Amino acid sequence: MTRNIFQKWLRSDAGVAFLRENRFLTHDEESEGEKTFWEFLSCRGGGSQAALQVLVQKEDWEGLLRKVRILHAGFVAEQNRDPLYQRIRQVLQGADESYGYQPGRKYSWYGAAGSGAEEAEPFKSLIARGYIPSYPTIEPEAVKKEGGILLLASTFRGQLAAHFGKDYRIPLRCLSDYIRNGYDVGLVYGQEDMAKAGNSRFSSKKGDFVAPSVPQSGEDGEWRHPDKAKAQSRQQTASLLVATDTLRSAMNIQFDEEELAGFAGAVAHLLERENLLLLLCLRMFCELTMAQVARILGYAGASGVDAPLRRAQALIEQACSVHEGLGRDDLDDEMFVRFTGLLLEKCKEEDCSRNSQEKR
Amino acid sequence: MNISPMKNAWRHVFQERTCPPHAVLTDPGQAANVAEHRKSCPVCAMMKETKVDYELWKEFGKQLVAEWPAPGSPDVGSGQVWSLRRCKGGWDAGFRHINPPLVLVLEVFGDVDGIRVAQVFDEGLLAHEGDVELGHGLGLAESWNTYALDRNDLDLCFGQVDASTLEAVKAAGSGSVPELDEFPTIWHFRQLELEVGSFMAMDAMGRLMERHERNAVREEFADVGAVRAKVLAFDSRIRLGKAENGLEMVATAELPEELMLKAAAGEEGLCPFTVVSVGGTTNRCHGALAELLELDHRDTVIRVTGRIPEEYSEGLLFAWWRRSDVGLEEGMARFEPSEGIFSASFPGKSELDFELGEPVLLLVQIDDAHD
Repeated sequence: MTRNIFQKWLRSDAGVAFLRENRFLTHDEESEGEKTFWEFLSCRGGGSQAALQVLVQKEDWEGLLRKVRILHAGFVAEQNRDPLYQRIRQVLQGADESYGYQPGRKYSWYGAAGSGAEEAEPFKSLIARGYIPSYPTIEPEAVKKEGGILLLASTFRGQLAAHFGKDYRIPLRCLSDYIRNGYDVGLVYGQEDMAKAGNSRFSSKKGDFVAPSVPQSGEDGEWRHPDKAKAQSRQQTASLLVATDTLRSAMNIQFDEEELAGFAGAVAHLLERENLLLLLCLRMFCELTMAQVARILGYAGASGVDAPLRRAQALIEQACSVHEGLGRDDLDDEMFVRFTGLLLEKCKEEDCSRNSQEKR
Repeated sequence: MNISPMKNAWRHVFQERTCPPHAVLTDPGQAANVAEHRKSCPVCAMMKETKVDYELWKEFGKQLVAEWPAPGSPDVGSGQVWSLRRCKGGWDAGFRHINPPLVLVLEVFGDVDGIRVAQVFDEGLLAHEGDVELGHGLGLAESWNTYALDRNDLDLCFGQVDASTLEAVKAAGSGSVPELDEFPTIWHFRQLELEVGSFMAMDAMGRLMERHERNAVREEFADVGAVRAKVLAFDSRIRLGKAENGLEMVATAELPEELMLKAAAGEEGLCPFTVVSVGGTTNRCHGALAELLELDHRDTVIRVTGRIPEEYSEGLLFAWWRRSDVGLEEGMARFEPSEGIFSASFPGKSELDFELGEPVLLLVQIDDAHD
């Protein structure tokens, strides 16, 4: 693949300085996957080209740093998924324009370009609609090699066009399913890993796949918060969440008290700015009734407290949604109790105390 | 501690939308607001202070975009993806710095120079029903978050989607609202996006409404004969000259003395003007006096700033520059009734125009109760 200006720059002294300064891997340590990240980024910004251009145009360097970091995190997470998919993407990314590779943040495609091009349905749906796949005879190793993958990509695209009468924009996932349907991919990529494609990890140096370094979770839902089960059924995020939660469970990572205290301080400030901290404290810490809280705060009746209390809860809920372990979908009871404790400690009002007369 | 990719994505978008950008962070005049933001921003509270080497990032940015097509400023049309002007961003009451998002233009309203847009984001992990992938690195359009903007709010165009994608966004927007109870992160993300959208639209709404009202007034005054009849029906002594439209005719009307009581003074720095009411069976007229605070000519533009008496707490102001030997030429007028201050600008004017001419003002009040 011809290196573009950006790629060349990354390999220049200035580019190396940039990578080192920002704690991305240096050239010497750069893995195949890391190299691909810069290629991924230079090709339509990994789906965020316009957003990246805005940041550069507005000279928002903090914003650009954050954007590149999140793109990098997403890319690395993607790297840890299905190895066949990753290999297909790597090959098509470097292929000539006739293959029509189109990168996206979550999915990538090849085939017909332009957003008007019709997207091929999932492989199973294509079969259900009467498409019968046929396969060229190739060596087993070819499903991993550039030539083999390009041949299979062209064959699949051609077959779909012949059967359905249109040149589709084909999700790489669909091509991956086509290949898996026709060949024993596990022979080349590793049996066990192919069975658990969602949790596989890629070892670029050896060029094969090794088992995840953390224990697998047990039955579905074993380690999950009951409320999370449904949310995690969502196809597009499930495998990523599983990977993360499994890792956390295995490593038994505790929350960072200092970070949590800083976070609670910010939320307390948010509440204080709207005069809601005392109200919250009286209700939650002092455990006063709504009527008692209303009396202390000068409301005419208990119902007057209702709206500000709901506002306080909404502010807390939104803030907590950005904190791992405090959101509605990943609530960690222990962490939440500690958080509320830290939050209410910030209340310095005289009216709020265990000795409140109102409490009795 | 580990953070799930989805939570990380949400955290990033939260920062992207609500944390001050570089220009604000480095503006000494914004230091107090930035400090207040840092005290209460839940994401900033969790972030370790990062030293940013601006020169390296500047070079990185330059290299990154070097081979991408540069954004442009074509005529505004449906299907284009634009950034919004920097001035659209700003602090909200909670010291969040709401940053202007990219938008997809859905419709153009030529009559008021307005557009309807769908907000755009690029964080695929937060995509859900109602979001439409635009391709070409443009991101995803939020069919559930559309609003009106002023065409002048647009800054640079980053690309164009084809008709079918545009239709897909419109069609998705007319679908039912998805149930998000099971996806709290998506729910919070969408709440924030709606807040950002409302922040962007709020600022434009007043201008679009004023243009709409101005158009209605121009339509009302288009028929010179009908306006003449309605003005004379109010007071037959009013002298109306020949004019291209009813607005100019009324602006230059000569009113009888008792209708000019509020505009009698002839001091320098004061500008008599006509106030006309519309909406009834007659067009009531009377004179008033504006105080001219500033009148200057710079770079071929004449600029006028002044104060309208307090009693005129509402109305639409029209302004012309008049040279007795040339006639009237309309300029751009803005009037903020709550402050009583107006401004008008007249482009393409020479020094001679400035010396020989004068401003002519007309305040139109919509009043359908007087008859």
